[in-house]
Amino acid sequence: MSCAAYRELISAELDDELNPEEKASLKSHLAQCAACRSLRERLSLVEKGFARLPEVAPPPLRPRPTLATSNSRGSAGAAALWTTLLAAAACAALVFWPASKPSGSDGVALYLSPHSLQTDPPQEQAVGVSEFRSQPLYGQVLRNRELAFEIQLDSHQQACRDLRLEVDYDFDNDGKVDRSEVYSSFDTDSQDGWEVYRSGTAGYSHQGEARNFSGGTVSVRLRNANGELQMLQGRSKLILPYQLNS
Amino acid sequence: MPTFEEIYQEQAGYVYNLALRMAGNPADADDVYQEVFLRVHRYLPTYRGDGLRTWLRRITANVFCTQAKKRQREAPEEEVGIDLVSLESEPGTLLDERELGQSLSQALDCLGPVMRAAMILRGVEGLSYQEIADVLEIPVGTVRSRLSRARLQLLSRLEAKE
Repeated sequence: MSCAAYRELISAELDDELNPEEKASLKSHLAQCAACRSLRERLSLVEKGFARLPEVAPPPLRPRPTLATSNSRGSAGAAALWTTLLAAAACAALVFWPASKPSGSDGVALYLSPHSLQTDPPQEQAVGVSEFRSQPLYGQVLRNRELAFEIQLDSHQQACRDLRLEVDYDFDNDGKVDRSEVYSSFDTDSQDGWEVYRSGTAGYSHQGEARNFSGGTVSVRLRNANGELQMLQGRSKLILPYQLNS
Repeated sequence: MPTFEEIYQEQAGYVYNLALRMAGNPADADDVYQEVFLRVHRYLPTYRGDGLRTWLRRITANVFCTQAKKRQREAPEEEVGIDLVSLESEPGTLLDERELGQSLSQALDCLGPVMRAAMILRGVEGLSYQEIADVLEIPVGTVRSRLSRARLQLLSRLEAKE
């Protein structure tokens, strides 16, 4: 056998797929062929790379209107799937409860309006929006207080899992997120009717320290585990632990 | 028996990364990934509840091979032009172990779709030759020869890169 033929045996040996005769033959060849010994060693190193391939987060499943409306064979399943997925992605209608006026001691109320976070209750519901950003804010952080929220969700008859509220702060308006907070693990039920979720019952994590606002903004996103929600609606609020300058 | 939502929540990352490694680029991987979950939803009633990853792996490989053939990007199967000089290099001097994962990810681009799929099923998934043959619907002997050629191509590419 030539070295070229032994290369296939070297590969199969790495996979533990040699029979006893092949093993013996390869062993004998390697004992006298430095080039094939070298090759085996370098191929062994390549194998280590497979355990180190980069991991990537999956994208959300995308809607496929053409499938959903197709009459071709098999389309019923596809249509049902995307109906399910769209329902899951858009499962929560978000309504923050009407709030009392901002209180200096508790913080400032920010309502989710269709296009922003604002300090006055919005006149219309936020539909088709999943991210909200405030106007520039100036004010002092209230120490020993935490952000509070109270939301109503209704996912109708499609249970929605692992909803999370993400709050990002850019205190100095330099375009960088200085602090981020994640409130996680709301699971809605599959019954029609509002369910209430409050900040005290959610899982919580944060990065970065709270600071005073000097023209910066706060932004809010509500997502499920698969990505952003497709639709939000309602009069909604957060209570930020800040005393804003008048 | 898991629901579709449970499978999606728990296995989306696995399916997507398997698809990405087979396809080699996010656009093709996304096509595979989306189609896999369409099929999961469609065929879930026939799933018997054993070996979820085995089932997902088979679907992913099938979707990948079907789409790859559809795109007519199957690499020719004749003997590839391995640089024999590079194969006789000194051991352990040419591969940077610290960047091996990233380098290998790029080197995999030199393989044709089926060869690449076989390599991923072996190197990442740890399947036996018989299992790879079953998944890709090719003879066991073909699996063996393709893996051998794939490894030589990868080594040649990795060492040429240095």
